[in-house]
This record gives sequence, C-alpha cells and structure tokens, in this order.
Amino acid sequence: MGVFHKYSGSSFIALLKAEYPELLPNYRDISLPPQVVTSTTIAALKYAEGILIAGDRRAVIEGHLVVSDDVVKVFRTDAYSALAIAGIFGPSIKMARLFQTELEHYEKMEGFSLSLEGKANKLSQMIEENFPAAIRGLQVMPIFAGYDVEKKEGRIYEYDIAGGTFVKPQKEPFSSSGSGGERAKSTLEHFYQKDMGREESLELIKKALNFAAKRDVATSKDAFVIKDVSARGVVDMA
Amino acid sequence: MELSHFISPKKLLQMKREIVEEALCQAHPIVVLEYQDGILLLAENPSESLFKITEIYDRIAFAGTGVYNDYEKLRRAGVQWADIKGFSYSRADVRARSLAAEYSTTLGEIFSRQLIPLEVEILLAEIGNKPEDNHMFLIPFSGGLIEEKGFSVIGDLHQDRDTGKIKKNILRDFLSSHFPPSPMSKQEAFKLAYEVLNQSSHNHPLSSRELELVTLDRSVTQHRNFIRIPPEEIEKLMTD
Repeated sequence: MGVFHKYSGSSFIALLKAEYPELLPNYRDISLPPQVVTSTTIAALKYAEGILIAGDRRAVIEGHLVVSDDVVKVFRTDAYSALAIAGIFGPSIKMARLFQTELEHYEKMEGFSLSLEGKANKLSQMIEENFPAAIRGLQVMPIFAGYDVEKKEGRIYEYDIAGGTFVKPQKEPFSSSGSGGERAKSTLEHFYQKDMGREESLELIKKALNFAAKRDVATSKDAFVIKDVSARGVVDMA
Repeated sequence: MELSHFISPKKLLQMKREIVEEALCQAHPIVVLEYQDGILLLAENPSESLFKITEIYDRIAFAGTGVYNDYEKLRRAGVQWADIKGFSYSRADVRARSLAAEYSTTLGEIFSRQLIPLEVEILLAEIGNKPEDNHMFLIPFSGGLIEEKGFSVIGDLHQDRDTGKIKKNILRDFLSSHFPPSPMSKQEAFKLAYEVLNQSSHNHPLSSRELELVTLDRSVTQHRNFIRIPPEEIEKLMTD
C-alpha cells in the first residue's frame, strides 16, 4: 500500500527486477550496431598503503573516431572502493551507476556495508548477467579496487566478460584493460616494485597510460582520472 | 468476521487513536533542532545497533518513534523510494517533501482502513544549501503532514503515573520557551536537545551510551551529509 513495495529485501537490483524492470539495462536481443561508443584504457596498481585506479578520458567510435576527450570511466563506488570500466560506453556507465546505488542501498538498508569480497562478488554477478550482450559485442570490462578495513589492505579484482573474477596476486598486484590495456600492462610489469610510495606509484600509473596513448589512438594522453583507495577513503588524485 | 455491533466511525477513529497514543507513551521522544551548519537529531536509545534516526538519502534523515517494526518498515520503504528516485532521475531530485507526502498518504490510508494502525510518529529532516532551505516534516500516525521550523519533537506523549492521563507536548512547550532567536552552534544545539530529553526521561541525566545523535551537516563536502556521532564524541559534547 502507498509507499510500500512487495519486495522488502536489501538489494537494489533485486528491487528493480521485482518492481521496476524497465529501469534495468536490457541488451539481450541487441547485436552490436556499427557506431557505438567505446571507452578505452583503464589501469590499477597496488602500493604500500592502498590502490591507485585510473583511466584515460577518451571515448571513440570504430576504434579511431574520437567522440569525446572528456569522459569519466573511473567512479567512486562507496567510502572504500572504486570502479574503472572499459568497453562499450553506455552499458559501462549504467553498470557503474547501478553498482554504486546497490552498495549504498545495501549499506542504508542494513546499517552496515558489504564486505570487500561481497562487493566484488556482486559485481561479478552483474557482469555475468551482461554476458549474453557481451558475446554480441557489447562488452563491459571493469577493474574493481577496494580497501578492506578489517584486514587493512587494498585489493584489485579483474573480471572477464563472463563474470570470472581474478584477485590480483601479491607478486603482480596491478591490472589494466581496454584498447591500450596490453601496452599499459607491459609498462606496469616492467617498472613495478614492491611497496612503492604513493607519489612513485602515481608517476608509474600515469606513465602506463601515456605509453598506451603513444601507440593506441583510442587512448588520450596526459588527461586522466585517478583515484586513491586506502584507509583514508577514496581520494581524487587527478 | 463481520462486526455484530454498530460502531460509529467517529467512535472507531477515537478508539484507534487511543490505542496508538497509549503505545506512543511508552516510546522515547526524539528532539530535532536546526543549528548554524545543519540539523541535529537526538534520541534516547540504549541500543547501539538498532537505530531510531537513520539515513534516507544525501541530505535527508528519518526519525521514527513508537513500535520498532512499524517505523522500521516505513524507514526501509523510504530508502527504497529515495534510491529509485535518485537512480532514475538524479541525486538532486530526491526531496523530503515528496517522500513526506507519500508517507502521509500511506499512514492516512492505513489509519482509516486497518483495525490497528501503525503505532508510530515519524519525521523527515532535510538540509538545504542555506539555512532557509532546511525542511522538517512531521508525519503523525493518522497521516497528517506538518512542516516545522527551527525545532520539532516526536513521541512527545507522556502518561501521568498517578492519574494515568496522557499529557502531550511537554517537551515542545519547554523548547518553545528555550529556543534561542539567533542560530546555535552544534555544541549549543546539542546541549539544548540534551536538556530537553532529560526533562522526560525517568533515569536522567542520560549517559552518552543511552543517546543516539545524528547531524545533517552542511559543512561536509561529500554528497552524503548524514553523520552518526559515536558515544565518545557525544561524551565530549557533554563535557565541553
């Protein structure tokens, strides 16, 4: 009656499914039209106190036509986590917003936040649900960075298009994705050192994106969004 | 089951009203005050995990008193309403006034149609960019909608121990004679709210562990302005 819904659980996504399915993305019966916007290179890197997560600012059509050099593909998702998404622009942004709302909604409904693992698993389910669209070309490729307040450590999660989840290991705690992702990864692999400071890591992640931009026209140079995820919370670095 | 005796609608509403008012006498009051940088909400609450004052959205807080499961149901519905609104439009489009109207309609319908109404009194507080844009809406169990300025109290019903009679607005009257004309600091607002709660509590003075304190503070730079103050900080506000 009135303000009440039939669904009374704590998941925002389940609430939309039950009562407002029209607000959920539905790309099931769509195959990739030629002129769809793609957002490009993202990366994340663990340092002594937390994680840096970054993306360039470019969105392109057909791999080389620049639509915008001003897009944001890195998002604060709650007090201790952030998400970067490469892949098809529309579904990516929608997934980021939905994930953001899901975390905040859960926190308010229950009175406490999901664990870092819980957040990472939820994201995996969302990517898996996009799988039918992904095999038609509408891929969404996120990197998720979070700080575990209990264990006092940062973690990076990488995903494949089917929702497969990869926690980045201690010896190679970095990740990259998108059109310039391979080149960014080589840079990180080459220069990464254990327990780097924040400033040093900031230089490295910028270098990785700039190296990607040098060869990949779909990646913008020098203009990035970078966030720091640590015990201090999520802080904008660029 | 059909009622075998005729009860006039007036009598029926009167009876429902009595049921709820008796229940509300058992509940702890919540004091809400505007101060320089926002709105402060203070409740007597011995529990550290079951809250009476909660976050609805960036600038909106919910306060509920009465029967726990009744105001908890309303709170959860409010969070759903706000997040759906914010997701389908934008964060700026989630406004307390619209939600207050929803609550009012719902409570009004339940009050007139159901045998036992929801035994609650609730309030929505919303801070604006300027103090003039603050809003406080009180929604009584029967579904009215009252806009408050400066201060408000919910759960302000008290049963006289000797006569059993219900007295209303004791704290509100105290507040209207003590509320200062010029804006208060957070500290001053807390002290006043604390004094008000101690007027009614049976075991006063209340300790910091028995208090639940929330501020909606304009000076917070993140979009979520709802701040739950931990007991250690309440202790500080009490002694400073």
